[in-house]
Amino acid sequence: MRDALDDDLAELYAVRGADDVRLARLREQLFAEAPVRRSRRWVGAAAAALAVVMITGLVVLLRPESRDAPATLPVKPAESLAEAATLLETAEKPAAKYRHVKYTIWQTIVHDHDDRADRGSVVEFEIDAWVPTAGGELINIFRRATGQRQPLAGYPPLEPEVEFADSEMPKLWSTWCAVTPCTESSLSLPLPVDPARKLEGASARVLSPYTTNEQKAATYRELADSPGVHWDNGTVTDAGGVFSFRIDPTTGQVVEFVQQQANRNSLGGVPQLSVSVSWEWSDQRPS
Amino acid sequence: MFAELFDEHAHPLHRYLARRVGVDVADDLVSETFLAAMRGERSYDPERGSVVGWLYGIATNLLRGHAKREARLLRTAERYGVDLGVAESLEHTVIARVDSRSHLRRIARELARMADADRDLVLLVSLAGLSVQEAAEALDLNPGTARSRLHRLRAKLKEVEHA
Repeated sequence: MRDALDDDLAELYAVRGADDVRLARLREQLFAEAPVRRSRRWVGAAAAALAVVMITGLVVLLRPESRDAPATLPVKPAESLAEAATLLETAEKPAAKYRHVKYTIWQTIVHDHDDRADRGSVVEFEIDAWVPTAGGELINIFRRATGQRQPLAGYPPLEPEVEFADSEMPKLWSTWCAVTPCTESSLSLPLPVDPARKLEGASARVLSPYTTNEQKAATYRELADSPGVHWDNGTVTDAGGVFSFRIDPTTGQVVEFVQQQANRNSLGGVPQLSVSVSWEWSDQRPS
Repeated sequence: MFAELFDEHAHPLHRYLARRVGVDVADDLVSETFLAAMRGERSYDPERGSVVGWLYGIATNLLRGHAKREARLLRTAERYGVDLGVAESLEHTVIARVDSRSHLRRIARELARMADADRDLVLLVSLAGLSVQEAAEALDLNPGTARSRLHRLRAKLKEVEHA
């Protein structure tokens, strides 16, 4: 709680000019330097990629024909959350440099206006997360509105030029990290006791690019043991019916996440959030 | 990513630094803070605390290079009973404005005498608005230690405030 001492300190250390123009100039100077560093990394990455291509070519050329057999055994599709957990735990450990997770998101956005009619659209966003597998490296996350929109029944569409506030951008996980290693912070929180909120509590854990397969598998097992959580051919729901996941039965990864409106009758039953997710390993990422 | 971080934190960080050592030095310190963050000179560990604590920790380390300047400004503020902004301008002029705010003089004197780390703790919480937990992360202190130290330092400042 602030008191007279804080007022005195504020008076002694009076606010001095810090105008936006000054900061904008600083920002411009700072982020003009960054590409120089990135371009150096790009050269290194390009050289590494070239080396990988050459070595791969040699390996293919010199490989005996008998080794053309499939490298992995066919996987039995998961028929429960526990089996999906096992798939994740037994998945081949990556040797690639980056985990790339791509999220394609449709989010329902309504802008309230005091002086005119409210407007709304279903807006597409994309998030690309590039998380290095090595420690001490920078994490890149790119967020953008794609410009694609769908009409929302009952509302005139959002103006084409409207920009979205940070608070409107979808937040799919809880943690911000600059460099690896990074741990998804929601993993340290228990799942809600309420059976209707189990998936709400688990969503950041299973969508975060920082959650490891082992951590995700543990969450699946916790959900499997929770009353009210159901598996139906890869689709997972809880007693609340607001949140649902679809898990790829052949990989165990979440490939779709849907959050319905809290009031299912509002906005014509259009979900609040609908997310498609793809997971891959890569040795290169955009600079 | 760092541009987002800048947009979110640069303004309050600059305001805090400017209040302590002046606008021109604050410009440099904000730039150096974000450059150090981008270069991973002090890596961010989410298990050790918040992004705010991490950034202000980098800034506080850089600010230490200007501790003598701040102490000098505090002594000028004490001598003439003025705030640090006026104290800074007084360094360039011979005109001294005598002020009757004697309690500010005493606080300035006490702050000037404080160890740099103690002054940082008091001001990160009071001026920058960080929680004790965040200030402890910035200064690499145990939160319990930071809490008790802050209590002691503020008690001392209140004592001279009302002396």
